[in-house]
Amino acid sequence: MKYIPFLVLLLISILITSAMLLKKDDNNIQNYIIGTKISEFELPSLYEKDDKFNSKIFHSNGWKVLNVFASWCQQCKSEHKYLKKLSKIIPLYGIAYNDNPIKTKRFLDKMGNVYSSVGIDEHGNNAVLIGISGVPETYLIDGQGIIRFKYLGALDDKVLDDYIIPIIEEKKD
Amino acid sequence: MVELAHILLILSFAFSNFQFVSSLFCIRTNDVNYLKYCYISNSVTFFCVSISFLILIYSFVSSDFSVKIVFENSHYLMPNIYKFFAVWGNHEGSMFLWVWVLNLTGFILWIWLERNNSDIKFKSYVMSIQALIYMIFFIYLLFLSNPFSRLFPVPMQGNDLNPLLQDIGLILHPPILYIGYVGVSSIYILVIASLFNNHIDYKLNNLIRPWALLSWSFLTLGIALGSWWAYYELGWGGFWFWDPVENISLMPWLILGALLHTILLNRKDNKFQKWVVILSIGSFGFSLFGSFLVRSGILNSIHSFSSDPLRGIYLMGIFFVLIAGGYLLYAVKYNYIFNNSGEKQTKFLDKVLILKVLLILTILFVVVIATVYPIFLEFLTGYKISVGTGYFETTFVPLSIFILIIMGFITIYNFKKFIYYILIPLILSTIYVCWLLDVKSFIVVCGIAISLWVCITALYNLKDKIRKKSFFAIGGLISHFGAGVLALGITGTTTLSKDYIANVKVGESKKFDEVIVSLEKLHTGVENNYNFLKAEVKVKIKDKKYLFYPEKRKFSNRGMVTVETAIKHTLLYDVMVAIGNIDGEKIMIKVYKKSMVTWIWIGAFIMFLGGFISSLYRLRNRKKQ
Amino acid sequence: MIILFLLLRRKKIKDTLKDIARDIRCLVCENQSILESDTDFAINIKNYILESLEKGLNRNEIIDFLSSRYGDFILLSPPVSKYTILLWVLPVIVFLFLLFIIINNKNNYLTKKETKQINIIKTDKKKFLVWSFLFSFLLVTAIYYNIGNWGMADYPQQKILYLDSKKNIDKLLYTARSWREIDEFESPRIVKINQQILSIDKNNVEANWFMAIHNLEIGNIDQAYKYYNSLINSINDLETKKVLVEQWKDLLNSKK
Repeated sequence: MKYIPFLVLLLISILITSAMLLKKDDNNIQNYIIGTKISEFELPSLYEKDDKFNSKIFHSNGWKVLNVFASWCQQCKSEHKYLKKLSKIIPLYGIAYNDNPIKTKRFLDKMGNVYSSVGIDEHGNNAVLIGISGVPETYLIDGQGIIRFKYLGALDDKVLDDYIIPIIEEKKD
Repeated sequence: MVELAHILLILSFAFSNFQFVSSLFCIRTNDVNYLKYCYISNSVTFFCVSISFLILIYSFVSSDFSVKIVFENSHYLMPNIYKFFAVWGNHEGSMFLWVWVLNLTGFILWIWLERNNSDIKFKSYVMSIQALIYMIFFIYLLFLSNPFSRLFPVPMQGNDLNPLLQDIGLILHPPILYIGYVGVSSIYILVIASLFNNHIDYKLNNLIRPWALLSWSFLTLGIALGSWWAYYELGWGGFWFWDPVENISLMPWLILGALLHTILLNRKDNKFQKWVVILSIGSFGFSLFGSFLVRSGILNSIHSFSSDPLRGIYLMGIFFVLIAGGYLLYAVKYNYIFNNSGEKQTKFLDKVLILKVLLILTILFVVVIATVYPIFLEFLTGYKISVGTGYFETTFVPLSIFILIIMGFITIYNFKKFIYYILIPLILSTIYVCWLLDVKSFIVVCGIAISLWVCITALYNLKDKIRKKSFFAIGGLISHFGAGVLALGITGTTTLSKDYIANVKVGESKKFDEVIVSLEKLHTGVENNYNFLKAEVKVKIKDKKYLFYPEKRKFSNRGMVTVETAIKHTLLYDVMVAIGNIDGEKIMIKVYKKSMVTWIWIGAFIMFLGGFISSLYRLRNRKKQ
Repeated sequence: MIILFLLLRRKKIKDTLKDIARDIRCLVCENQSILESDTDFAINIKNYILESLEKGLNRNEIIDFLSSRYGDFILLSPPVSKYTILLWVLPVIVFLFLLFIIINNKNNYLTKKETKQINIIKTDKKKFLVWSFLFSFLLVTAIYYNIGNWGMADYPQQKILYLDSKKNIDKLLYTARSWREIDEFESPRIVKINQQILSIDKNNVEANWFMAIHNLEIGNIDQAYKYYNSLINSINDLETKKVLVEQWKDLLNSKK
């Protein structure tokens, strides 16, 4: 009975120390959405005037990456070279969020268009349907439209090498 | 100069080593001379640390960018007053402040103890534990968080202090809060020394009490200052956000409240002496745990400093050794904790006190679990949740209301006196306040009635104690009164406040129920390092007219946009006006009418006063039991 | 009549919107609900809630959808699920446990006052003073000798002796960057700082790049290539290498 305070403290110290030492996961990885299907949505396409950019793309064969970006977003510029790297192994699709189409086109001209197709959500109305909270965001989606990975923030080598590429490699087996 | 300060700090560390050795000798030999060496050593340590701290402040004021923290947190063009106080706006500097306050309280402790005639063994144990704690923190300060880290070649210009921190709140909030956080170390030292000394009885309670009161009152004031700072800085009327760091400051405050009431409970036959020991060690534990959580980077919050895993490990280590070690010592020395054989207590009031302590400890646990549970859940299952206001509304609030109700039962009331002096004033004042504030909801009426209940019972008992000339209880009753006022303010703000949002062009106005918001004019301009948009807004509430000049500022170098809220304070409500989104010609004007907010700050200050007066009184006079 | 009905419905929808918005966290703010915030994100969510309410969805459906897209973190009050039930259960357990302890509080009565005999053991104080001082100061000096070092440095207008932790690259980079804002690119001061950085870590990218460009500017082509090669050889990432090689080519071309 008299040892209870001591034992409680011992337990707490051990728990917290292990939580501290083992906590490696990146805060920006969103685990809750893994395994859910990407929502149905439809957006105007950026380049093809009459065409639409919609979620049906993600129900066709093959894994794809959806990247949410904007011309006004600084981090999107820095993640661009990683997107280029990624585009060589998997098709990329982009959504410009809260962006002016002219500015978006200019941005893609300047940086280089890595996307197979781009949709534009000028006022962010469709963002909530998909689950977008800001830019940049990257989703890895499989052939059935199921989200396999979601990352908030600019991509870098670590995210690509430790998470995205391994998942893609795995599915090849 | 800076080298001198650095060396003085190292010397202080050496002296605290010396104090430790000297105190051990005193324990062994009972020779008073060794105790004197401890005292001298402690005084020299305090002196050296003070000079060192002053030199650091001087480095800031003279913009000496060879000192790394000055470079990181200051700028030639910063106003002088912020240069002076930017010392504690960063990790290393605030840690230095902590160590300085530790030395200050330690210095006062031995002087006070000397005048109070305890036995020499006890005093030498106190000096040894104190020296040990000094050493632990000097090691942290010197090796993991060195304020005198230098940069050569000397940079030309500094990085500037985060604009959010360039404010009077920065000057006041940390030192006052730290007196509260560090003051609990004195309680810890006294209790551990008594445990080593193999004797704990009622006398310990009297020793601890003034320090507990001092810590508690400064924590009250410090927390209130932080809340007030957030209130007018963020400008939308929120004053408490259940942010992890806010919760961390609440924990020692709550456990000190439980401790103080347990000591009160022990006044007759000292039945709960063991609780006093457990709660005292716990208070220091929360203080250490709090600094660990904030400084180790395990939390992501606006308050957190940049993290270094080594710091987290060291702080966790200190926490474990001192607190788990303290509790182990408690278990080992369990049989040396004595109760008085006196009258068995079965009094109603003591049962009320027990209930109050229980409730406070339950609330404390609620706050702890709300802060810590998400971390564990994420660690164990990867599942992220947030424990926000909703959780606290279902747990903290009902428990607090329960506590407020039983706070009124301070003595057993004579039935007639109760009706005339308490019930009738309560009903009348509740009716009056509800009329003033235009209250329509029954729940709010209850909230106001409960707050006023606390105030009136406190006043009644205050009058009683003054009549009987028993001055010791006065401080506590003043604090109770303050708590009632605080509760009134919080009830008012959370239930009676209204927001009015108007999307208007210049010259337009919008009418709500009893409020008219008009946008009169719009100016743009340039100031020092920012562009601004200033609006002239007229707000008419019932028949009172107020003029506001809210601004939106865009800073050139950081690109930051800040919103400067215009605030008008009155006793019954505060009105805050801010500029929101701009959509072409239409400007969004946000008007927040926050009822009774001022009473929150007044109530907290009264609580501080009560505790502070009580602590001073007890520091000067020791009551013989 | 219809107008009245529509107005009332509009008000009801607005109130429900406020009610829901109060419980949704603004993910890009510090601890604010979307009701209080007016960031783009908050506005998008509010629009979504408004549209859903007008379509006839109820509060639970809206909240379920939002938490499925954004995770439970977006809810300001944790949902009652198997993960979170403990949040409410534990305080009750704690209260009952404390009550139990209080009821079973055992007394340990102080029977008689022990009179302690204070025996003063004689010791040689001078010896103590000398040895303990020596011990304390030697201990501290030994620790500091291993952690810190003394150095001479250029302080504006004088040379000073200082004590600090071992020379740190981050600190040098700080100073270099800060001087760069004030001086011209090739000032001797900045060159010296970069040389210091390279003396600690010869593969530091920023410093090597600076020295390469600097030497190119002043015409020391051989030296420039030395730094450039050392830089290129130390980089593993192909993309970065490609970028740097291109930039180097541009610089060479502009020099001609």
